[in-house]
Amino acid sequence: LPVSPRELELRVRAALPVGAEFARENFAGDPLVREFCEWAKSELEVEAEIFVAWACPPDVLIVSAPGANILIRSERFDTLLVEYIRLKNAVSHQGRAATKLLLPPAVLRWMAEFLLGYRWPQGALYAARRALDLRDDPRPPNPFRDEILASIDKAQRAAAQCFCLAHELGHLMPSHHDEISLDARVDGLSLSRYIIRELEEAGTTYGAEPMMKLARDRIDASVLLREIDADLIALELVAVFVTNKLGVPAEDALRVSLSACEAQSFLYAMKHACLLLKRHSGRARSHEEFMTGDWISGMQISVRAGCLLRRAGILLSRWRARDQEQTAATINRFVPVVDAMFMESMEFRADLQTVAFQEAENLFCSVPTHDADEGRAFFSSLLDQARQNSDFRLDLFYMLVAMGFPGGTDPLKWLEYLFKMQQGVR
Amino acid sequence: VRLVEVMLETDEATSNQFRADLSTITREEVLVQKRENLNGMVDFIAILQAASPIVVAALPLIMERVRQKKVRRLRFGDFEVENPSEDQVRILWERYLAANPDRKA
Repeated sequence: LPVSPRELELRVRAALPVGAEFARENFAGDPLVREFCEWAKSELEVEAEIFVAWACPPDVLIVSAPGANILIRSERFDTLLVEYIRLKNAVSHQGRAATKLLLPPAVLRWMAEFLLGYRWPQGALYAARRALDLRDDPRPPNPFRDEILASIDKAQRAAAQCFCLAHELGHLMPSHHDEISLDARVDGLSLSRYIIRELEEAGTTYGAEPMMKLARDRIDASVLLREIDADLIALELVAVFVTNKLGVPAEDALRVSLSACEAQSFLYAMKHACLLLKRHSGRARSHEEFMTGDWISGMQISVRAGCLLRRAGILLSRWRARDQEQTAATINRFVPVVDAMFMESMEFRADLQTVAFQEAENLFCSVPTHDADEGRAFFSSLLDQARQNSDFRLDLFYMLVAMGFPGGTDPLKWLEYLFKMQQGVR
Repeated sequence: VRLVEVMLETDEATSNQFRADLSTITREEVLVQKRENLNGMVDFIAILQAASPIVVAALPLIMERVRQKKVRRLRFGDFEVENPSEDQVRILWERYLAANPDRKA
């Protein structure tokens, strides 16, 4: 039976946190994304109602239940992806010297926004204050969606906006793996092989064997395989769409698709770290749990990236050498092309991850829990600073605007409200 | 008597068991939906829309899951709590009942 509009609303409301706003997506200003969604649904032969959410942590979701699949876009997530791509472009143009100036304030600002979304006001205030202190440019980042989206080229923008949607639509496809474990193979390589490679490259302090055991204990292979499947579906869909629709060569289409996935992976990893920070920060003996959770999350992202790069090589070979038999030798000719795409921004990614890790550690050690006396004093002191510093207030206001809160929202009252609500239920 | 929206975020087995148990007691239908995001978080959300006396009858079933630490998020209308304790569920329900039903979230 078809699901009524009222029932659909109930399902969307249940999937989002309290206070989130949402509406049926009309793709105003994004006709290309609408076209992509329609095309992708018909290619995959799936159905999904599409909604958009705001005034909540930026999240792209697929919700499935009898009668309807619902894809929920995030108004803010698109612009976060564009901010990531702009940051990457800025660092590549200005050289590594700019890294120290540009990366910490950008990372801290994103963290502040995620922490606001997760309703951890003292963490958000602390991160926002540090972002302001470290920012070289006196102007706050632009919170206006259309201007931000227009600031990168069309192919990059299309890939950034469509990759996450394609990934979620990919979740509607049935899983085809015979084996559900870290020994399952994707394009001929087992997931455990990617983990071992990552451990070897990182050179772990504790030795590879215990870390591998930790990975086997903590990673849910069925979930990881589903994510990899969805990534691979998204890669192919987005690259084909960008090539056909925007007349971009296959190689460039793959490059922008991989770049979109890279941006998405980093932002989601950081968002997850912020959630772990909220859960564990300031609590005795929880540092190890925070570090382990963060490591597991990072490892899964590495495995996903490894699978994606391998598939990109296979796709490029299939498209560029379509008249040849797709043997290992044929595919291997295209591996260096994809490797080069990956290597281009390796330094940037490493620097960004280092900054994100350092700032998360700093937050973990600096922000006390809300229920301790020092927690209240810590929050009040930061709130006073915001009261006395108009730049700090403006930054907070722009964060809320970017997330889609109404323009009339007073950021300080909102933060005070969140702090009060932490004491018990809300 | 008010119509209450109850949302229970948990794992697949707990959601399905909650649906089966509630249906035995109240004959109310519970919808279970799966939610996935970009980084592999998979949650199951049990949704019940029912009159408040029926929700009262469902409370022991909710409490049982809370005691087992299976509930990641619980919502009555627009009152919500994450990883709740039994006390927090009781307070949440009392606050929900005491609030003006027409208030804004």
